[in-house]
Formats: sequence, C-alpha cells, structure tokens
Amino acid sequence: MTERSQPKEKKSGMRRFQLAVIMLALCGLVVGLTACGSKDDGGGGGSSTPAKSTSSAAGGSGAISNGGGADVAPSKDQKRGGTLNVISAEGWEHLDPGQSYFQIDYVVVYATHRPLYSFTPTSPTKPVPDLAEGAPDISPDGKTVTVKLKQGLKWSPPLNRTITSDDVKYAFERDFNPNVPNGYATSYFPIVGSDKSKGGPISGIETPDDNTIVFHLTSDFGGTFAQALTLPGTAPVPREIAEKFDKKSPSKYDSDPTSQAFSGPYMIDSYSAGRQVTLVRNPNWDAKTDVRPAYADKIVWKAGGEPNVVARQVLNSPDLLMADGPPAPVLKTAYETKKDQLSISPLGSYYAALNTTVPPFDNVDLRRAVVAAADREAYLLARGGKLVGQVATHFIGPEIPGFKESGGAEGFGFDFLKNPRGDMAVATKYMKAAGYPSGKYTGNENVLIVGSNSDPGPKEMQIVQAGLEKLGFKTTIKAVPQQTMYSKFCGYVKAKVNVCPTAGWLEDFPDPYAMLYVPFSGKAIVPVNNSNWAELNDPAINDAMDKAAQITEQGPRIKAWAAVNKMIVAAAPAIPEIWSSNALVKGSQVKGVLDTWNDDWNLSFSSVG
Amino acid sequence: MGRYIIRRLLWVVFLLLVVSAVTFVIFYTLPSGDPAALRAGKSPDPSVIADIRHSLGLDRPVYVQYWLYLKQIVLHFDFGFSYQNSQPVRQQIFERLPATASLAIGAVVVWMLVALPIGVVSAVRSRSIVDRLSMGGALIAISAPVYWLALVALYLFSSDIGVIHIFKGAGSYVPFSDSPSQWFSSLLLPWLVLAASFAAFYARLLRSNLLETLSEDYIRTARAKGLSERTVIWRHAMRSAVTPIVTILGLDIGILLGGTILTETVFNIPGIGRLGYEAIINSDLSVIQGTVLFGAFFIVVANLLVDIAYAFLDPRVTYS
Repeated sequence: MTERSQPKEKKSGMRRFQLAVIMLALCGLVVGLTACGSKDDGGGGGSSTPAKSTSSAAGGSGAISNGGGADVAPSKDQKRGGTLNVISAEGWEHLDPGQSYFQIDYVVVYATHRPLYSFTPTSPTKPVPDLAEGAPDISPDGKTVTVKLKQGLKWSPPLNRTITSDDVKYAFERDFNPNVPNGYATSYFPIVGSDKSKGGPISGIETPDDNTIVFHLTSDFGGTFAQALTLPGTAPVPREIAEKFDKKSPSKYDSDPTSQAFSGPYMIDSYSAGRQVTLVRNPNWDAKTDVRPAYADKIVWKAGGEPNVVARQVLNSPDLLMADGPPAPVLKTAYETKKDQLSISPLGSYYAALNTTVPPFDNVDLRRAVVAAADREAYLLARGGKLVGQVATHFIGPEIPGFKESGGAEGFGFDFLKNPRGDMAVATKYMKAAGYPSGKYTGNENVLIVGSNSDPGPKEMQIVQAGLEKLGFKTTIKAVPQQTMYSKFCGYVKAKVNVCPTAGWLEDFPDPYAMLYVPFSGKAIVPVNNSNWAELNDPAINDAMDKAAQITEQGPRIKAWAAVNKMIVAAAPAIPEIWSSNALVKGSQVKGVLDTWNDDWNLSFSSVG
Repeated sequence: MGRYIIRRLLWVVFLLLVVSAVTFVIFYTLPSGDPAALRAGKSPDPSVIADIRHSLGLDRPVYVQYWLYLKQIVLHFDFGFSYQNSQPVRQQIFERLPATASLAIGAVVVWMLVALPIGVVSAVRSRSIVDRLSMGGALIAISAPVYWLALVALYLFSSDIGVIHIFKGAGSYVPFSDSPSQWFSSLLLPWLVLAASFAAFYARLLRSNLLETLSEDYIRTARAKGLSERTVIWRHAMRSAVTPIVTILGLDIGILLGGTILTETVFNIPGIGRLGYEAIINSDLSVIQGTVLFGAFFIVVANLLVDIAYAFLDPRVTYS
C-alpha cells in the first residue's frame, strides 16, 4: 500500500488550502478575542511543496531510464569515514520500526534497524536476507512461514545482548498494538490470532528456539507474506526495553527514539523532532553479517525549511543529500544545468477512479468509453510533463516486477487505451455498447467529480470533466483539500463519489500485490480510509488476486499478477493517468546511492565521496 | 492599579479558556482528518480504527475530552502529544520558543532603530526630499510580502545560494547558548527581512502622529516659551506621538512571539511558527491547539503590559 509515500502527496495537496483556512480561522479567533489587529509576518500562504513525484532507477523492468544524470548506483571506489550530511524540507513522523510508514522515516529506520529481509540498492526487486539467515521456508499449503535468524547478532549498547527470535516476535506483537499503530500490519500480516492480540501474545507466532520464528497464517498467503517481511515492522524490538513504553499511548519508544535498541549499522544518537537526527555507528553491528557497507562514520540530517531554498542549497553544495524531492522550478534548473546532481526514476502511479458501484459508471462499457475519451497526455502535462512521469496504459508501473509482462509501456493493447490523446470513435463505440445509440450519454445522473484543490488537482478535474462532457455527461466538480478528499469523499464509501481523478498509489514494496490488491480488490473495501476508490468488486478479479498472492515462485507469480492487471484494465475501473517519477538532488561531491524501491537515498550505501 | 491588574489577569484566564474551547470545538468536532484514521494507515479494518481511537481517548464525548485536556494543562502543564510524531507538545513548544523569541525580539530592535529616526526626520522635514524618499521606501517595504522578500534576500545575499555572499543562509540558525556570535550572524538577515515592513509601517505611523502632535496648541505654546526645537520634539511631542505606537508594538511583539511562520519557514529557523505551519499541513491537531494557545497567551499578556505601560507614558491615564 502507499501510506508511507502517499502522505507526501496528501500533504502537498492540502498545504495551501489548510494553511490559508486554518490561519484565517486562527487569526480571526486570536485577533478577535484579544482585540489585536496587526500585520503579522505569519499570515498564511507560504509555499507548497510540489507533489512529490517519485522514482526508482532499476526496478522491475527499467522501462524508463533515469532522467537525471547522477550516478546513484553503488560503486567500489566509495570513501569510508566522514560525516554524511542530509537535509530535507520535511521532518520525520515516526522513527519507530513498528510505526514508521513514511518514505523519509524509512531512510533512517533502514539504517538503524534490520528487518528480516531487505531490498537494497544492489537487489532492488528481490529481497535479500537481512536479519534472516536465508530465504523463508514456506509450507506447501502457503499457511506456514518459517524464518531462521542469523546467529550471534547483537543489540546496540547499552543492551548489548544477542538478538533472538523473541525480539522479532515482540516486534510483530507491537505491530498489532493500538498504542503503536502500524499502517500495514493488518494488510500484510494475516497471522493467526493477530486480530485479538491488541499488543499481547499472538497465538500464530512460535519461537521454537532463539534463532527460529514460525508464522501460522490465516490463509495461504505465504508467498506475499514473504515479500512483506521486508517491511520495517519485522525488525526486532527488545521486549525488556519497549514493552513498558508500549503500554502507554503514545509509546515513548516512538517519541524518544534515542531510547531504542538498534540492530542496524547505525544508532540514533540525538533526535529533535522535525529538526535534526544524528546517527552514529553501532559498535555491535557486525559488517560480515550485512550487505550494507555503512561507509559514513556519522550521519547528520537537518530537516525543515522552504523546499525551494533547501533544494538550491543542495545543488550549490558539495556535500548535501536532499531526502525529499525538489520543487518544480529547482527540478527544471537542475535538469538544465546540474544534471549530474539529479536523479529521476519511476515510482507509483496516478489514475482517475470511476466508482463502479454508482450509476452511471456501474456499466463497464460506459467506463471504457470514458477511458477512451480521456486525454491522458493532458494529465501528464498537468503534472509537469516528461520529467515527472509518462502516460500510463495499465496499473503496474515500470519499477515493479510485472511491468514487462503487462506489455510494458504499450500495455495490453486495449483499443480504449490505444490513443493517449483520447479517441472519440472508440469512445462512441463503447457508448453504443453501453446502450446509448447516439454515442452520447442521455441518462439523468449528474457525475460528481471530487479532487484535490491544490495543483494539479483542479487541472486534472477539468481534464476529466472535458472528457465526460464530450460524451454528454453533466458534471459537478468539488475541489477539497487532498486529505479531505481521501477521508471524506474518495476514501469514504458512503460519499458515493463518481470520479476521483487525483488519486495516487505507491507500492509498499516492489511486488505487484502491493500495487494492485488494495486499490482493486473487492475484499479490501472498507467503510473509512478505503483505498479501492473505484470500489471494484469483481469476484473473478478477487479470486485471481487471491490465487496470484499464493504463488511463491517469482516467474509464475509475476505472470499471474500481469494477468490480474489485464483483468483490471479490461474492467476499466479507472483512467490510468501517469506512471510517476521522482526526482532527488545531491551535492556535487557526495556519493548518494538510491534505494530504488523506496526511491530515496540509502544512508548505509551512500558516502561522503 | 493592583486591582486593575488582577482583574485583567482574570480576563486573561477567561480569554484563554474561550480560545481553548473554540479551537477544541473547531479542530475536534470539525476535523479535516480523523487522527485515529490517519494513524491507522490505508484500508484499515474498522476495528483497528476503533482500537486506536480508544487508545487515544478519542471515543469519549467531546466535553469529556475537553475537560481532560484542560485538567492536563492546569495540573501538569501538559498540552498532549503530537499525532504526527508522538512528541509532547509542551516539549516541542519550549524547544522552539528561544528561536522564535530571538527572531522576534531582534527584529523589534531592528525595526525600532530604523523606524524612530526615519519617522522623526520625515515629520520634522515634512515634504522634503528626505521625507519623500523615506516614505516612498516605506511604501515599497510595506508592499513587499515577507515571503517574497525573504526569498529575494536569500537568493541575493546568502553565503550559500546568494549572488553576493554576505549573510549566512537558511538553516544556519545556532542557539544563543551554543555560540552568541554565530547566533547573531545567522539571524542578521532574518531580522532585516522581518523588520522591513514593520519598520516602514512604524515610521509612517510615527511620522503622521508626530505631524499631528506638532500642530497641537501645547507644542506651539512650548515653542513660544522659547524651548529648543530638540526639547519640543523629544520631550513634548514624542511622548504623545509614541503612545499609539506602544500599543501596536506590544501587540506585534505578542503576535510575533506566537510564531513568525513565513520568516521561520523560509530561513529554516526552528521556531514556533514553523512548528505551527508543519502542524497545520499535517492536521496535527494537538500541536495546532498548543501553538494557538501560546500565541493567544502572548497576545493577551502583551495587551496587558501595554495597558499598564500607558499609565507611565501618559499621565492622563489612571487605573482604578
């Protein structure tokens, strides 16, 4: 799912509106009540971070080349030692491996904690054993997964003791603790008894010895569960330290990350929320047990600031890495003048969801007609052109295994997606098939379009509106803050919105399941925070997804998910808009190494030169 | 005077209660995002949201939540914790208060140092070239949005991304306790930027007040008595002309101490304004509420101090 990165989109989307409205409210309130009436410097407005376009270089099939010129792959001549300086416009949310679910949080968490498996810059689509000794053992029925841990790994000081399977077990227990809310555990960890644990023991987890952990699943989900063992919630957490914190809400294990025990190459030495985090070497980390080179001796990350200023500082510096994307003007400058300090690569996609449960779009041919009439190149232009992505033809992006099997950039060849500028002849054909002989919609329903009120939301709503009106639909546009769009409209089933044209989805890990299941499985529909915005609930697609999720072997698994992708595209629950790209900038001398699956710097692979 | 101050302090408490209640109602009953849902991630089982809501105490009636919130503040001076990063709000505000105070007080000093002489000279040399140039410059300074001015200043004069490398750039803030000299140099540009429009406004205000005062009968009388022009202006006219400025100055200081959002954001100064800005964009309700309460507190206290200062500045004012 997307929570880690999607908030970026949400935040950028809601910034200006909320800032303006809330500051007006605050000013009105405070000024009114206290008889003040001055011209504060802090009024409202301010900058809005452009929607973070996302990235990745290698990915599944690498159909899109790195649009920047920076060498972001690991190399043998990287320098050891020194202080790596990182800067970002945004601050961190949760540096607790259990709660972390945000792109820049992951950058810190993966440098300080070791999950069972990891995607790395050298293995961006295939998980490599991290805390685990080898590949997980999945039972033939897919319901039991056994993981052996490396022996002799130690916790950072002052704990210093050996990491055991009970530490991993406790990590999973706290993933289901409401005081340590985890954004993905219920989706990816269907462990027997987890629904009742509330932070206590989970009956479906066994630790027969200190180096073995066994997971009993509620369904034959082993193949996908094994992929999800790369998430930070699988990193061990010592019960004796965290448990007392986890009994309170919020857990202090999160609010004071310096009190944590660390298994990764670095430890959090100091932390000031939203301002600075300093990482130093973990003396108990054993390089021989890890693929991370951990070049830098120390990592200092300063957060906060105006994104344009931060990005320019990075481009003008020799040694800074910027952990969030540069705004469009700086991106353009970097592309034109400092390409060797710019990385652009694909991650995630945007699409306009058509609600399949509400007339008129409960008719598949009508949806196909809408897709056919859509000018998808206009969506790309609205988002910023070729630097931020490419026109999509299906729902598995270039960075995810299954892209090539889905026909790559060409897609599956459906006629209603053939012309990226839209094809009215094809649209008319499907309108007629839907029961409208004139090729125009003659029903009474007014189509409600709800989207983000921040750029490019209004443009995207106008684009979808133009396509619909060409087909004779009457439309109403409702522009709201991005977060409200998700919480009160598109993600709120009762709202019955017809079209959500500014929805975006980033996968949690590079697997088609993470890209397709939640947005398109009928089983993933929930009343609140629903992310199947089209509310697609096709039993055949649901079954195909469940079967594909069970497959453990990579080749057949990818083919099965490509087939699912084709079924989804055929059902036309959404207009595929773009496969987005993300940009990152770095100083002229520093060696930034990209974690393509997270589309951000990997601090354990980056070096000062 | 004592009774007046006590009465005003009670009024301060009442105002803060009202502010807290209204912000609570606004942000808790009409939230732009449900904190429990936000923490639950995408497509959560409804029971997960319910568990988190219970864990955060959000399943209690609003009045109970408000009562507990007030109780926490009064008994423990505890403003809750951030839903965004789980940090205590009080800790975050206190950590950032020195930066905001440094910026605000320094800017006040700068703008008063600029505004007072310009205002006086413009009034005394009314319609002269100096006056016209000063007031023209003031108009430009008032018209320039702080956000724009800050960016232009950075792009022109900062040592890292500027054309002419004079001042330290964004993100260079160093606490006074760490290094007074670096603290001073890192804040010079933000002070100048923040002070620009205020200085212009105060200069214009002082000029118009002084012009009006200088036409008063008692000024003419003072001159007729043979007092020097310097004495007339500084001893008699200024005392009267400056009174409205003290009113506004007090309130402005109060407001700035509540956070200078744009300046802190552009210069990456870790102050309360930036904290509030980040809380707003993240729908971090408890932090928004904490910063609003602090802002309101500074304003009402500044208001009180201004009223008290009146008694000393203007002998006609007495409190009973």
